[in-house]
Amino acid sequence: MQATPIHFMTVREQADLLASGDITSVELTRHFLDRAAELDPPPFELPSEPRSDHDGMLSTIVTIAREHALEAAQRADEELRSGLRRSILHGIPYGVKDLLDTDGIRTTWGSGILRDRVPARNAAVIERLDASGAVLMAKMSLGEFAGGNTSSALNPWKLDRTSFGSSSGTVSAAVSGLIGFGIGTETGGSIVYPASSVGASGLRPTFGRVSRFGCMPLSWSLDKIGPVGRSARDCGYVLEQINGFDARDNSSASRPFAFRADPGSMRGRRLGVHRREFLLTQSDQNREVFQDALDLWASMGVIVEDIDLPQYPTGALFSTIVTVESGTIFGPLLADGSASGMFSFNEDRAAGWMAGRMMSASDYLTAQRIRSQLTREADEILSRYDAVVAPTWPNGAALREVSDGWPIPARHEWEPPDDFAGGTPRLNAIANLAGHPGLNIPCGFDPDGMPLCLQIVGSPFDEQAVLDFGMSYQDETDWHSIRPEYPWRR
Amino acid sequence: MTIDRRHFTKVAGAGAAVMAVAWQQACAQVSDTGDVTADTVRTLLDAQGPRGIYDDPEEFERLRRAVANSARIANQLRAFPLSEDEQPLTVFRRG
Repeated sequence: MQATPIHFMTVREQADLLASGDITSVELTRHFLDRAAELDPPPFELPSEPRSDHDGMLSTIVTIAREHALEAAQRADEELRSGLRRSILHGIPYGVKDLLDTDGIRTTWGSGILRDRVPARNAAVIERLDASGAVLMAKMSLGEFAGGNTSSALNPWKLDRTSFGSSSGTVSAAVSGLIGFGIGTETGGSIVYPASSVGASGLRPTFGRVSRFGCMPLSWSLDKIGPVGRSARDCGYVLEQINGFDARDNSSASRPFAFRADPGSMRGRRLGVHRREFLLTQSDQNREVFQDALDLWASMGVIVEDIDLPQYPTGALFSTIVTVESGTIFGPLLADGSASGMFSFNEDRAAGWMAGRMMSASDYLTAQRIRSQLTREADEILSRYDAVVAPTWPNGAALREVSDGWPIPARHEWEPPDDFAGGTPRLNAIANLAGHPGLNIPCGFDPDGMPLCLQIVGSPFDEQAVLDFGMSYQDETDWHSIRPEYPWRR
Repeated sequence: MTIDRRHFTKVAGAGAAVMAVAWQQACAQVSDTGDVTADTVRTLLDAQGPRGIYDDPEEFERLRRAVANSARIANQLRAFPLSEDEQPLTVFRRG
């Protein structure tokens, strides 16, 4: 059996090598830095317009922090030699979406308007990863101002396909072996959708689980920060380090998370299946892939039951909440005219923010009242199951080409039905509005060789349950271990 | 020019009222005709603060479409059946 190249190893495998002394953090960090600099060297033009190609590169990285990374790795090695191992992440290099502030390292929010912005502080997540001994090596590309439907990075499985948004750089780099693990953010799908398009494992934590202090806000009442990796366990290990109460974030929750890497027996656990979303794909092969995953859990003794989810105007809720909050957040960019420097694809987005500034407070509060009712109903449904599952997206990644602001399905197999307002599948929309955790895991490939993935959603603060489903699945399958080949397929 | 507190309250209150009335007008126009007029959008734009990039006619037209879309969405949400006991999800928390 061929050994896994070091850059494709999971967090656990990298940590074991470091703990045994088979490799030093400096060696591991240099390996990732060299690989990133060789295969995907920044700078790419900012802002990152959706482009058909970057000369065969992925454009996953905005800034490589080489000097910073090597110094941090050196410190990690010295501590390891003195017997101090801060956490399982100690000495492992990671990349973070370029909207989390990093002291002395530019943080652009994916926009040319902020190409020279260099913060003098670290985001809370960076502080926590520093304290855990992890090594910050790169700032990852994203849709400008965390725009959700454009990918700045290309998809390593096929360069003409979207890697979605907005955490596209982080997820593409994770599956391409350019970083040890990654940090993404999600408002309405920006971790799980891009993770799904490239076959990464990515976890959206419960709202409030991870402090957003020092992270660009897009929507105060919806934003979440979460881990991206090459396995569900990677996500658990990273979440364990980045979660925790922070008084600097008004929504921060005091609910510590301790990760258990053994899922235990799955017998008797209950899995709700939002069958409607499984039937959305027009491809028989895709349907079989999704059904095989359900059958595997059933064979472990999991009780698999079809469920239905309530009908709510989720697109209208998202649109209202995000545009009103973003309109407030980005008001200064609109007022001083610097929004004109946004890239052309985003012109309608800036107008949406301005329209959000004009909405009445009453309409905004109505949206938050409907959301409250939806949250209660969703919590009640989730309380009957250990987790609920649906395809993260019913088909493989769409084309990079967009129509009406939305990527065009590669095989024209699927058009979002009316009740999928905004093109957002229902489980994902509800889970994001209700603040439920969701884990994306790969479960196969479509007829074009593009990854297909499932999203496992759990009750608030029960990330362990969704990770258990993910780990138990990945212990029996190897979809999460299959990597895109370099040079990336055109 | 200096203004006293009473004058300031009056001006600010008038601004807020203009905004609220213009927004209701936008919602009513969308409900009646499916679209919103440039005049209504201009009133909203001036009431919210500096015009920024929206002096440009192309940008303004983009904004007009966005306002029509937001008004359509607001009408949709207003029609959603809600219990009078339902409170909004807000962040304010003590302890």
